[in-house]
Amino acid sequence: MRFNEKELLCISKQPSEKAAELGMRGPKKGDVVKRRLVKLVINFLFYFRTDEEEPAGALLLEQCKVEQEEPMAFSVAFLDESEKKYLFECESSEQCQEWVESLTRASYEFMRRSLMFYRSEIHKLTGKDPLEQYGISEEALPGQLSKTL
Amino acid sequence: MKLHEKQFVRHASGHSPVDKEGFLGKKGEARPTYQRRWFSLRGNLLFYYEKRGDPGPLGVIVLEGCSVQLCESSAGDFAFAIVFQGPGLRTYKLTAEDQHEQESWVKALLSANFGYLQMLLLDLERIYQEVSGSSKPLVLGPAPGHALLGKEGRGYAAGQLQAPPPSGKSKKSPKLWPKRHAQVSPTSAETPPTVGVVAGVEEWSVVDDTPLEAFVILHSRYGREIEEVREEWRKKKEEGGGENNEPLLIDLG
Repeated sequence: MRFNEKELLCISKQPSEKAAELGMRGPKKGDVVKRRLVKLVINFLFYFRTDEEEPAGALLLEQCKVEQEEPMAFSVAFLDESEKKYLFECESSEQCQEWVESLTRASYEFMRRSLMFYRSEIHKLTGKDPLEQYGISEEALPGQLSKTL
Repeated sequence: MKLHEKQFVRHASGHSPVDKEGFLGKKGEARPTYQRRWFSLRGNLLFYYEKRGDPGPLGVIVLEGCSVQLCESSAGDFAFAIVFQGPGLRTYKLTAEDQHEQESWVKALLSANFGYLQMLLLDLERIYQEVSGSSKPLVLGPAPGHALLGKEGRGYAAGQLQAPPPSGKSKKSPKLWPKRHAQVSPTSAETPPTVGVVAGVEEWSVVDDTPLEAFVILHSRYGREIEEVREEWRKKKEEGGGENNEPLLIDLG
């Protein structure tokens, strides 16, 4: 499958509030924990070998489940492959919880659902469509959103 | 850089909403010819297939950091382009079947990026908090004398969400959002005239809790600060040898 790699590399270099060196272990049997710089940008989780400028890889954070596994570790698994987990080891349980929260909210679909929720709640409370008030026409809404109300 | 193709195939194969799909002509990277491909937009990812109905996409274009432009059409092409700004970055040239489709695709692609969705979400979150919290007696609003931080500022309404959002928490997206500061004003107007409690507020960056949780956290921390300041004031008063017999400003018994 082709993808726009150069552009994705640019994305991986954007500043991010969520970037840290964590222990990371792949989902396959025999995978071991390796130190990686893990960085969340938009709905991608990039991981870099600690001395490299370009990411070794990226996980697309859609249709995935993020959960705390141990006090200081969390996992990322994908729908329909839930036994295959990427494991991430943190320095503290606080850090772990923060990552779980951040990654859970990182997907485009999660944000879209949140937007629909707020739009509908605001409409219930005020009788007005908040997006309309802000001059956003139906056509300017991300696809599925225009069918919410 | 390794991408895990399965993740994309899964995402493209029906679990998420399709924002738009249809046939477009796609110009090859090196070749000048256009190939007809089936395109499917889901969120900020534009998938394209060799043929409609193929199980796996031929490729994907991540729509971040790009602009979308209508193009001059030579042969009534209804052409438009996805342009990535930057050295060595690509421009994807596409053609639609008619003018309506051309405009429709351009609009869809313009609003497909993550940042746009984030901006909308930010706005709606703010409105929601204003609207749902306005009937509550205690409102944490901007501290007097402090300018609003504009779009980045946050006033938290102490109240409960009417209906819990799907995950039970507020939907802050942590990534590109600037650090948020709680702007808190004390409900009782007076505090002892020493170190401004308000000064301590600025360093707080309030976390992603529901308004009620945020209030509880703020309340206990604020309460501690008040206690400390009061303690200082009390000590100063003692050191002063009791020359001013002002009654306690706040008698906490």
